[in-house]
Amino acid sequence: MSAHELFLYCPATLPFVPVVRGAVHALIAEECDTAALYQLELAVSEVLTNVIKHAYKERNDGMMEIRVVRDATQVTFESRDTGGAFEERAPSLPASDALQEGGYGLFLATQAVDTLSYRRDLSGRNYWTITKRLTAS
Amino acid sequence: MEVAARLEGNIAIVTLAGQLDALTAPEARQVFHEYGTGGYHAVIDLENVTFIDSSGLASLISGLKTYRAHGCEFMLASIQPNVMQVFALTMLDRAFHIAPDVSSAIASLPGAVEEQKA
Repeated sequence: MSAHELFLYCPATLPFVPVVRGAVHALIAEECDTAALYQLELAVSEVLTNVIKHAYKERNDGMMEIRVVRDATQVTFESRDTGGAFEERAPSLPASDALQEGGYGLFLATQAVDTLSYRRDLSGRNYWTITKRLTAS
Repeated sequence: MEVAARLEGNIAIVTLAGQLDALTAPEARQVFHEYGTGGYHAVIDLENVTFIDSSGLASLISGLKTYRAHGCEFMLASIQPNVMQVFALTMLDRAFHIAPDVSSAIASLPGAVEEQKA
């Protein structure tokens, strides 16, 4: 494992979402301006919250595997879980005057990073991948 | 996340510190609603909130709807610049009344008691 690579294997429960955000922050902070760092942490938070709440339906017995790789130009974040499949649909922004409480998560994630992708393999594992270019602080 | 609330006249000032996400949003939501039906306006001090995601937003929207349903204001104050990105991306900066600080939020409220400075 290189110095710019991080692996985590942790319970898919809400207390671990800030733990993963913190790990990403620690790995990236020196190489990134604060706005871009926030955007990356935001996307990570949205993806993992989605895994916990929807893939595992907050069962609290699931696990998630996290891999974060940082090179000179970009960060790649990958998560893997064995929860239910994600129902893919294009994220859309609820009307601001509707005061809808939900539905912003994946829209925010897609707006905050360069790429956000999902796939499910034949073994029933879900993979979320985020990439974000690093911008110097 | 730390949550503190105090009353100043007809205004509930709720001070949050830390990160407002799916883990901490239920606690924030509970505090917002505690004064939401009592005829109070709310000023939510976000000066020390370093992170808000969509779950945090949802709790704030919930508060906004509750206070407005009772004819009261629900204002946000002192949003950190990076956190403001979330409001801008969702265009919820148009839905909330956002003040640069708690004092100006209080001053803008109808019939407000002016915050006493030490």
